[in-house]
Amino acid sequence: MPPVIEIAGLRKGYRRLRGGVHRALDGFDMVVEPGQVHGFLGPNGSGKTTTLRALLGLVRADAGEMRILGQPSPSALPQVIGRVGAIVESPQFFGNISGRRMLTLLATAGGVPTARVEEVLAQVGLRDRGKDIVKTYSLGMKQRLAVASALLKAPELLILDEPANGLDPAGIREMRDLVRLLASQGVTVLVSSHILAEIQLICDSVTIISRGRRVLAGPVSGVLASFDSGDFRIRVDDLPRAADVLRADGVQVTTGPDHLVAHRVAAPARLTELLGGKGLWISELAPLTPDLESVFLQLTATAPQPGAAKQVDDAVLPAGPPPAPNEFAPEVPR
Amino acid sequence: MIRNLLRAELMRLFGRRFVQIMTVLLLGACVIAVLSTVASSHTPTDAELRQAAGDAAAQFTDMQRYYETCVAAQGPQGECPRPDPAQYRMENYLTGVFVFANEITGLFYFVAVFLALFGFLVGASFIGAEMTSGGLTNLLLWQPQRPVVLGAKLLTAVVSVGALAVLVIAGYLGAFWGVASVSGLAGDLSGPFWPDLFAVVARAIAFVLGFTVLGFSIAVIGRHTAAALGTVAAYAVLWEVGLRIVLDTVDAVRPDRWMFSTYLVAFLDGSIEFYDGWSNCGMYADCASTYTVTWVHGALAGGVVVLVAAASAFVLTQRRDMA
Ligand SMILES: Nc1ncnc2c1ncn2[C@@H]1O[C@H](COP(=O)(O)OP(=O)(O)OP(=O)(O)O)[C@@H](O)[C@H]1O
Ligand SMILES: [Mg+2]
Repeated sequence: MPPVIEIAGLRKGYRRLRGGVHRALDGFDMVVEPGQVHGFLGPNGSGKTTTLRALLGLVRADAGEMRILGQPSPSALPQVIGRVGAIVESPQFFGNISGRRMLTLLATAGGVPTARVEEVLAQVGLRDRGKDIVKTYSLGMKQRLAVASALLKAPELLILDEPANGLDPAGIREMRDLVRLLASQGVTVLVSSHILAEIQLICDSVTIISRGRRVLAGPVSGVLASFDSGDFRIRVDDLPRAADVLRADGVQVTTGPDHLVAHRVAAPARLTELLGGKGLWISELAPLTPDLESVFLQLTATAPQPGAAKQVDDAVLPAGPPPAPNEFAPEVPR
Repeated sequence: MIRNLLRAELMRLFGRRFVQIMTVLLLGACVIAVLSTVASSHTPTDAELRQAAGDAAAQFTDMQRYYETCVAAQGPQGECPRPDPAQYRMENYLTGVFVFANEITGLFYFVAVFLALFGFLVGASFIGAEMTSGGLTNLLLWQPQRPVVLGAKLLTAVVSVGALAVLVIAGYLGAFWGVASVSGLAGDLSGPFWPDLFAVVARAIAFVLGFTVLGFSIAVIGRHTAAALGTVAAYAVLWEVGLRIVLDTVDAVRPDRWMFSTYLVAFLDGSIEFYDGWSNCGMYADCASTYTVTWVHGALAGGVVVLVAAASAFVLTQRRDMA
């Protein structure tokens, strides 16, 4: 099966007020395979929302190719949009109608049976508040309504831009369950989020973007494995002696206040053998696997540093393709 | 898909609080106009009718006599105003009696202008509110063809305002006809009265629809309801007032032909005549010192403005980023 989303060399510049162009997307690439739950990560202002807007035909890209469900976008968007549900950055609803009516209007416009409205309202937990005026919803309720509107079409591809924004812990868990349920039904999900623990839990693969370029892409497990340095945390009674024993065997060790960390350990069983042989009994031996958060911070170089306030565009600028010829004068798309 | 879109837009239009309030205001204004006429009109008594008929006949006789004296003095080539018997009808000499034929056109202009204002505001707010709230962006995730989305909205606004205008006008004219038959007089309905009235009504409906499209288009161009109001206010102050003062100071030739308001009045009223301060009449030359702007000029000027605004709105929508 062809990828559900293919983006290659996407560029989008925004004119600055005082001349010049801000390159929001600078030769960005992304591939999302069918059936995946794909995480879309990047620091603030790195171009996630711009990518999704361009993909969905809301903004015109200056250059690049995009395909969605196998069709070129935006030219063939009308043919496939019925199979794509999307929320793009806290969608706004005009506020003076009830949530139920709002969804009914969208369903009517899109030719979706209105019975579906009740289903999606229940699915996002708004069944009993559907009659309330949208303006009176809390942030999380509006977000739930947005997700409901994306689900109305029973889409094959679901695009969620920061769906967890404003959700309470229960809401986040429900969102996780919902995404997993949809994935099990064969829906492809592209989800952007800043809650990396969440992404690590629900996503099969990720793309990380920084300053408009792709930094990394691949299956979550593979990404984590490639950043796995083989570190192990060891707790024993006599830390200094244990450290000496290990160092004597050529293991690289750093000492913590109440534990040791052994680096680049190929065979953990060897640690037990070494220490046990000297009568040092290990009370804990735990692999220190990297999490997505540390990978993200390392890759985008956005980890906070003491005494320095990191600015939004301080993220790393990955090596990219050479600038397009129209770099400084993006053509007005027609 | 298009039909669904139109249905949704129709639900949306009449679901809008603003539209509902405006409709109530519109109907309220009509009712007030009718009621105030009812309050100031009564069925003339036989005595009043006799009195009025007598006054009319006496006045006509006077004028006829004056005319005859004039002709006798100046000969048939002289400039003697010949009295028109149609002007000396009995109902023109009644006070406190509503005469349909005499008053309906003036009363109708009131509702036509009100409907145009209604169309302008409804057209502007219908799209403007959704551009500012992001509702339009949301809709584009369902129907990415922007001209279709915009067209469905415009069509909904125009058809709805048009239908409402027809209903309101019919009700308004009917109500005054009722007032005339219950406590007033119909007056002289002969000759071109009905054709003239229908022509005015037809032009008024076009007038209202034109303003609806204009309000809608300016709001799209400015991405905001307020853009439409602002443009009208700016035009009125800068052009109609400011430029008029400038043209007056430099003694420009026929300044009124540069004013859009001239064409609006001409279109609605049929024609408008201006004193032409610069037509240079020789001592004996027989020259017209006025010029006339007709409803055809009005239709051309208004049509061009509306078409340019609508075309710009569609072209801009197609080209720009929706965020
Ligand atoms: N309409 C616009 N006009 C000018 N610049 C814009 C516009 N929209 C986005 N940008 C710029 O493009 C860059 C990318 O913005 P984008 O919204 O895609 O970031 P993001 O990755 O979604 O960030 P976040 O995590 O904060 O949502 C930012 O630097 C932003 O300032
Ligand atoms: Mg964003």
